Amino acid sequence: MKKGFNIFGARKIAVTISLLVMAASIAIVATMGLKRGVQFVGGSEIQVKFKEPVDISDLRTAFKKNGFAHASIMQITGENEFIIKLKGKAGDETAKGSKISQRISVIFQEASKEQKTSLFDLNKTNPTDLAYLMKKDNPLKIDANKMIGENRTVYDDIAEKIVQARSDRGDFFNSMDDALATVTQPEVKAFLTKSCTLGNYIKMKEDTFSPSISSEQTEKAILAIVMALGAILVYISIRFKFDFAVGAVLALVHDVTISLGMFVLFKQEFTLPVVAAFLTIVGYSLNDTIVVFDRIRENLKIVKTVPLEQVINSSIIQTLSRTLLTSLTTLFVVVVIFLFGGLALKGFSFPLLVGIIVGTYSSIFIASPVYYFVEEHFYKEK
Amino acid sequence: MKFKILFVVLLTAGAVYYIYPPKEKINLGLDLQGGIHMVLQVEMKDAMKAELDNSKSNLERILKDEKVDVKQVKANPEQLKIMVTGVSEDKVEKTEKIFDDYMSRFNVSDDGAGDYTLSFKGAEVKEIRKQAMRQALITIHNRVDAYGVSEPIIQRQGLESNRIVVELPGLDDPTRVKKSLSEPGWLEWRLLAAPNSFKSKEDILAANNGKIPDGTAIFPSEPSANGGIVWYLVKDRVELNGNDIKTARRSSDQFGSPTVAFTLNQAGVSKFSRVTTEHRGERLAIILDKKVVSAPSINEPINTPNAQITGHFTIDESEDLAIKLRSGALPAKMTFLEERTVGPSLGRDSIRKGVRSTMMGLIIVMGFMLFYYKAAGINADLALILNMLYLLGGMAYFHATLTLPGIAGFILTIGMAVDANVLIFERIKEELRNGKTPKSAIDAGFAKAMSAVLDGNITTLIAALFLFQYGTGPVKGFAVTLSLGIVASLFTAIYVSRWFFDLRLAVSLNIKKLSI
Repeated sequence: MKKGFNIFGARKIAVTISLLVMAASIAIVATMGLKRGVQFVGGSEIQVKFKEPVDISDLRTAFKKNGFAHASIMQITGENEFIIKLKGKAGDETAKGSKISQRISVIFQEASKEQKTSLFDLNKTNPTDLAYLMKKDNPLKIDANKMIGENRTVYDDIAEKIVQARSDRGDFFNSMDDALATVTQPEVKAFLTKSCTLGNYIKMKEDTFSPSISSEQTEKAILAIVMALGAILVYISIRFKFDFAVGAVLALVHDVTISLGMFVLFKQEFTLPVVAAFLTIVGYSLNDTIVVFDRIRENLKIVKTVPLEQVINSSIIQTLSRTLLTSLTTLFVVVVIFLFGGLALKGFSFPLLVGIIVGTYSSIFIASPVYYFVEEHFYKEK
Repeated sequence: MKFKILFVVLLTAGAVYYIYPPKEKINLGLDLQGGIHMVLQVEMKDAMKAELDNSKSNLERILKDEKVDVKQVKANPEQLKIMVTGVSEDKVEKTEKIFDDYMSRFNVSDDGAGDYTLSFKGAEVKEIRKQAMRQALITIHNRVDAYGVSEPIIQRQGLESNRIVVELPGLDDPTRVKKSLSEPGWLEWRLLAAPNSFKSKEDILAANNGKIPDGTAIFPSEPSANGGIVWYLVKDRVELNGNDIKTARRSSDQFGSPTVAFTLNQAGVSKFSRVTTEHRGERLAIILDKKVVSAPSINEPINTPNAQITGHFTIDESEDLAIKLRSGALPAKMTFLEERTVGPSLGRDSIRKGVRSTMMGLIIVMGFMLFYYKAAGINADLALILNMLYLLGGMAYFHATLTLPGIAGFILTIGMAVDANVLIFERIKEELRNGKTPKSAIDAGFAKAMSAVLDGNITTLIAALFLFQYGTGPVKGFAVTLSLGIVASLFTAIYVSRWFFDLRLAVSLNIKKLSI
């Protein structure tokens, strides 16, 4: 067997560093606390987009003035878009009715200097509601029987075109002529001109969670991660040996702990997609470990006289290139998601980014030493 | 070999067939196309109480008919029990027979001294829950259909829960839908016990010596246009209810005010005719969800099935009421546990960013594979493209839904899918370094890398499975794309990429050097 670097020889330093970083991670999580999203604490999250620039401090003042002192408001960098969060008790209220939602709409209306009117808002509407408006009035006098149920009518097509045009113009129409440019039927044009208006803000997204469902979500998330770990432990025990499984799962615990520590340190918010990211770390960061273990298993069959330490070291070195390469390709795409996937996916890709890097490290420096330790202490005599 | 080619070609053609045109074949989740996602809880306590009240009234009627005098029949809604007290000794046998004959849904316990406690049997509780869920699902379906939402999803969350998931693609104003789904729509006609309305509850009590007369109850009115409420003293007996209505629609009266016109069924007509004949001159209150909508006087006997409800309706309200009457009543109150609304523009933006990220991920990974593995990189890249095709084809075939996290799963698959290729290629390289010929190096590379490839992917699959089990909506979408991606990548890496190697070996049998 070829001799090379003694990577395995550095295990004591590596394990010490890892233990320190893990302790630091636990300390960070314990002191700073996990910043949980509305899904986990109950409450509302609203994303709003304004037509004209609105100052964030004005918006904050407006929320305070209307009795939402606890609202946290954040601006999406470079956009006229804001995310407003009402957590905890505020969420409790929110869950009880849509009145809060309406009060918030009034704040947006004032902040964007939108006129109060009962007309139908073409900037806010979706195709379904717009089509429904036209169907009720029926300016083209279509046979009513043809509009029942899911029959597509010319109104659906008109509505779809108007909303598509709005999306092409960056979510807002500037004038009614502009809004109705795609409408060819004069009757429809007249009807819409008469009954519609153009608002100055749109709610991009609005989520409300009642606290009763939230605490349940937290439990379920933890349970899912723990159960996945357990299932993987069983699988590796069957495919390899129990001592390998201990190494693999401790490496996973290492990866998840440090990822969580970094996650909290960088003040990321714990949401449902983040749970998905952590479960992906659990599944994926194991891949590299398995490659190394697979090689140890193979080498142990070939050479019986070489000390275990040496077998492990050469197995790590033999598989080093593939360990690094597989992580690299995955890291490429995670960086792409992080940089270009938009705000919603940013929180999701952050733990993955950390998890993949830490996972690669642990498959080289943590998994095998643990396996070695268990093997030497519990299996050696047999 | 020929069979292999045919298989891959057929599979690819199948995938393309299922995907094309992608706009119609790939289901977009609510977070991508915009819409409302709600989780509602059926308040089972309400449903049980309603059943209990029903049984209690039945029992009272039967005892009266059979001339069994008892001191009291009382329902305890908290413990879901009916208490019968003060049965005289000579009627004990008869009473117990009545319990046997008519109250078979209850366990009867003899408390001594002519007192009895009746409680629902365990199986009945289950049955009531089941029926309530069924009715809730049907009613919600009917109400949602009335709004003309295309392809709504209405289903029970899990097999045993009291929760219903409602997804309404394309809508983004939950207020009205929410109102329509949360209000049970219990409609009742009852006679007024006092001809006039009162300004407050206290006025009613004052007029009746401080206590509510037996067999009556106090109900508030719907708020009028200026928000005012009046109170009515109403008889307990329900003359007609929503079940007696065949159909209903929005209409207007002679002054053009919105009303709801309805048609009674056979049973409804005879009940209505009887009450209007016997109680001419009295007022009949129309009560919706425990609020009096209106209380018209009975001027003459009505024998026709057509009638209308007037009230302080707006056009939308009268439309909503008609929908409720048509769709039937909900078995209980609904609580909203979760409500997510995505406007139409956010979804389009997410798709745009998703497509862009996918393209960038593909270019970077494919470029890297070409750069690092040269000609063998082409194998991996072709396998990757096929992988994407199969993944999309699989999603279309299984009618899986693409969500925003699903897009992330899709991009992640690009990076993970080449992992199997990397493992195999590195192994081939190693075998080449050990002096093997290209052919045997390829054979050995695939054979020896297999166990690591399988084990690595299966652990990821295990995690994805738990995620599927745990997740709702969007997260489930991620689990689905990730799982399908893993399966597709196993197939392409082990099977398709191998086939490309074989193809190259077949072209020049005595290849000396393998570009890898």
